[in-house]
Amino acid sequence: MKRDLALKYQAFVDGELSEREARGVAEAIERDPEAQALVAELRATRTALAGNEPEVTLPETPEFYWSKIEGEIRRRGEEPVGTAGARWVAILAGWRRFLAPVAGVAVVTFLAIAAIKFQTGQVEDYAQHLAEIENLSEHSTSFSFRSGNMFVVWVQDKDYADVDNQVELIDNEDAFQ
Amino acid sequence: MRYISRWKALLLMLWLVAAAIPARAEELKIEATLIWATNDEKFSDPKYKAVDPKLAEELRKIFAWKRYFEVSRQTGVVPNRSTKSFKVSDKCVVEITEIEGPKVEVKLIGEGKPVNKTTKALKRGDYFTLGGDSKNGSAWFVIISQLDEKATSAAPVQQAKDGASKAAATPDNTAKSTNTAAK
Repeated sequence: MKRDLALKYQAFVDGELSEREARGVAEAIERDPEAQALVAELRATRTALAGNEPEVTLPETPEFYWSKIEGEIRRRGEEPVGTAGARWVAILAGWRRFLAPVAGVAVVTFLAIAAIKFQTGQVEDYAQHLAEIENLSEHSTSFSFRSGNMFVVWVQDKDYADVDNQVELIDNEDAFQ
Repeated sequence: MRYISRWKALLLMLWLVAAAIPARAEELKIEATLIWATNDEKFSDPKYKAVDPKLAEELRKIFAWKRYFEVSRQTGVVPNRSTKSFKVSDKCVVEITEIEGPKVEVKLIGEGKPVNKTTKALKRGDYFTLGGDSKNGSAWFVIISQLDEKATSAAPVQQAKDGASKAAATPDNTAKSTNTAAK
């Protein structure tokens, strides 16, 4: 049996249908044994509920009963919610839901800043101070040093290289590495 | 299902960060300046202008020479993993190669003969200086620096033109000094 039809039979039993509809449904029930069985069951249930509905009665007058409820509500409203520690725990528990997204954003931000610094060379790279120097001519020699932001490779003729001249040319010997 | 979504979101964020990181290999915008240094107080030639005061001060902190003159200035782009030659004077060429690291390999060539090769990381704001003795107690320097993109977009063409004309006008003593290393 279709659900709509069953609901219609229930409405019929409850007397919620119009007169015309009720007449049509009654005719249909007469023709259909399954419908008859359902209607009989619905009527029995209805009768059982109507006859056995629990009746609750207030032990005191309704005014006094509601005044007690109001008093209880007022009392709970004035009562402190909890200790300071419990409040903090509650606040932290509230913030905990933001923990995962904030941590994710922090990681992404860190990676982005690190990448930018790496790209722009802001990260101190100790390889910056290393150099490979090769003399390609047998007639020349060279030495290197660094001073501040200047890296110098000094190239000189082997025949021209003598210590006295070298000292004379370089003003700041401390710059040698 | 919920965790799969989170993982997907994390992977997406990491992918976005990775996409934002350009590859480190890059073309280098380089400036190579040939400088002549002397202690001769009387030297004066309108063809040579004194070097930038800031750079001159940096040089004076290290070297004994008091006066520094710009002979030529070349600006160019060294392509990624490639070589570019900078002819700083008629007889002196500096070949710069961008290599893995990122580093540069700087080869000094005097009168067509290789003299020195130095491999080193080149950082913006740093000067890579090749230098040597010259006649009469003077000296030559080739200062190589990496330019910022903004600087190169504004000036390279004019600087290259200036550099070429000055290199062609290099006096004999300077040309010889440049090739001191190639003797």
